[in-house]
Amino acid sequence: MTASARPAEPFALVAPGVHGLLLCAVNREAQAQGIQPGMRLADARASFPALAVREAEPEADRLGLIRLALWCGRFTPWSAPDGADGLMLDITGCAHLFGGEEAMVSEIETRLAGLGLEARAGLADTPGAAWALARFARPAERIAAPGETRAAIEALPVEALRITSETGLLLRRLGLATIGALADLPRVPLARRFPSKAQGEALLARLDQALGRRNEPLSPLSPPPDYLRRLAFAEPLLLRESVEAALADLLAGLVPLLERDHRGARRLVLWCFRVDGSYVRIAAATARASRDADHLARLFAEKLDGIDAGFGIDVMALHAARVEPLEDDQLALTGRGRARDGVDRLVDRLLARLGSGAVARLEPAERHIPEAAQQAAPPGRSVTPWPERPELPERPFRLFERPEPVEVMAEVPDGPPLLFTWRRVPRRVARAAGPERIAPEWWIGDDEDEPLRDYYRVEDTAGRRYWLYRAGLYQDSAAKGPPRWYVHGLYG
Amino acid sequence: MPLSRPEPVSGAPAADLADLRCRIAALERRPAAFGAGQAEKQAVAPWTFGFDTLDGALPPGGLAHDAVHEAAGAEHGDGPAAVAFLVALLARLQRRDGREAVLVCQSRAAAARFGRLYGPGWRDLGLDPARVLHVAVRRDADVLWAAEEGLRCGALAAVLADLDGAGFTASRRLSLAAQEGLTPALVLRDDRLGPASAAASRWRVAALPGAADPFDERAPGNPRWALELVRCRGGRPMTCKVEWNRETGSFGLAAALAHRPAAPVVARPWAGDHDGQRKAG
Repeated sequence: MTASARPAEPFALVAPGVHGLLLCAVNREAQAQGIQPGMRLADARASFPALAVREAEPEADRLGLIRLALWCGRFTPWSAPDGADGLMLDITGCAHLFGGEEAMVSEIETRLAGLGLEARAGLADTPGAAWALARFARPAERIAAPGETRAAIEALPVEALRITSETGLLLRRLGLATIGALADLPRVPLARRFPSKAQGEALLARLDQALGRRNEPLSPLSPPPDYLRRLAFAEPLLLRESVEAALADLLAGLVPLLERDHRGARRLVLWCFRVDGSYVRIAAATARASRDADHLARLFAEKLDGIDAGFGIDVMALHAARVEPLEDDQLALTGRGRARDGVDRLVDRLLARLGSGAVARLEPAERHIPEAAQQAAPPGRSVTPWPERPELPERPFRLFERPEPVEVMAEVPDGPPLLFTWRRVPRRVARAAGPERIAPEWWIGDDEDEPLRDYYRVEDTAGRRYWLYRAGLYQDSAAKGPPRWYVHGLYG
Repeated sequence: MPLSRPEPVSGAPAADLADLRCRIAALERRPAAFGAGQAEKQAVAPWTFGFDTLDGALPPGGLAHDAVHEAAGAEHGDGPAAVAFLVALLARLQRRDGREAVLVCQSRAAAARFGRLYGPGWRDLGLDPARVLHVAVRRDADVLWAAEEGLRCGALAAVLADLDGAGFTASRRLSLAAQEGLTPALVLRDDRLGPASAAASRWRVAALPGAADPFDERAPGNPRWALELVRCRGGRPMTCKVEWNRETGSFGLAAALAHRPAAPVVARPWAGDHDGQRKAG
């Protein structure tokens, strides 16, 4: 395929080879000058000095091909890149949507031409034969009718079998130029003509694959979706309202599928294919499996604003990417027995707007260090129950993410503070309890030099309560410097 | 066609008057003698303090379940005391018809000011942290939105939101959402109560020197607060000094004489006095 911004003068892409730069792709004008891919740049320049070159970017090409394969999701869900320059689409059961195979192939070619890509399509019962037809057949003969694969590819050269150039050369030397000549030869003697057994086997395998004697599975870019709905529009959509209406239609189609299989969606992906070949992909997740169309539509409502319709959206597809079993609900007689359900829906809505990570449940962690003793759990799954209150001194209900340093007047070595200054206000201590010693968790291997902490529960003369700690010991002042004091939390 | 409106018969406007009274009562949220809509709302028992002085001051005999209640610290440093008061209230909230989750909405700025919600501490106050859904967002507008969603969905036991600087419109919105979902909203103001609000009750909380620990008079015991009911729909403003009993989870009167030690205090040196450890042992 060639990019649309094709310069009119001879042009080539180069890549470093063993003996200097090699041409890896050339345009038609360059070919007219006798320049072929695989030549060395020096040789090409010798014959045509004005050759324009640019460095090839195989990685970008590969990603571009993957994007194009995804874009082909508008034709069939089963699409995958094939080699460095091809796409393989399994259109089983899709052709009638486009008015037959002939119409579909020309639709694909027209669409790709509209994107500025030159594409050649082939269509056959087997991937191998389709590959051969796309690359070697005349445009009028590129579609093999069902069951007539062999007749369609018989006349094609042996190179159409996806074989290495050495194998092709050897076959030519043997006088076997077409697939038809090869097809009926006795297999064992044919394989024996090759220098290695593997080479012979490979040729037979390719032949069998093309003729449908051997199975060749295609692995699609994304696994075939079970729960997918697709809508194509005669006129591209530009307004948010029409996208909303289309989404409602898609959901109305998807929900019965889920209902039939007793499934609920955990993750939905909405694809909007634009007329200019780009697409938007929006995902929404639910905390619990759901197949309530209204609820699912509301999850997307927040995100539809982010869609840039560009020149218009002409195909939309909704895919339940993750589903879980969901039995039919028994409605409670009181109508109030579904509080848990309500909370899940609330969580979904919050997550949809605020982003994942904004909503959490608190879960206990078996750690001594106070800031590590709780962790945020995603709200969907059930939470580890909090243990019964152990015989530990009371904890503050608010904890500073970063303990705030304070200046303290305290009795040495381990008395509670008498006076401390926090946020520039001196506070006189009226009551204090402690110390509660929390040593660093050496078995976790955090930091060897982490000092141990002595925690004090402190109330000042105004009745405000703090959780203070001293990091380090006064005895160690000589070695580690004087201990520092921090406020870590507040009781009220 | 001209709109025809039934003219009040000059002799018998009584029915209209009663209707109007009923409507006004509904607006003012006072128990009306004959309010059709009131009956079902009254069916839900209010959220009580378990303390007659406070419950008596509030017209339904406690905090209404479908309204906004605001609290703020009396002075700059009393914010945490207001939070403690609200958390203590939450711990008293009775679970109704399967609703038990509490939504806590906090902006990141508020979390930086007075710290993040800390589960072990909530557990110590008698509230199961596993039932708490915590929402941390960047903007105040999102806090308001999340709180409104939570109130409206009707599946939560209560919503607690740190709403600093939200105006009358915001509190009115919350109040409507609370009525829709029959879910109480507790709103925490940062420093002071705003000038106007649609809250059903507004509290000003100041920390008071707390009680001593019954086992160690040097250690802090039950917290005490000076509560000021600044505004209450259908009730009268009042002030009250209360003590929160952590063991029983109830409010009581903070009497200066109530918890005096029985014996004179023997002064002890601090050195070697490991209170926390002795209490634990």
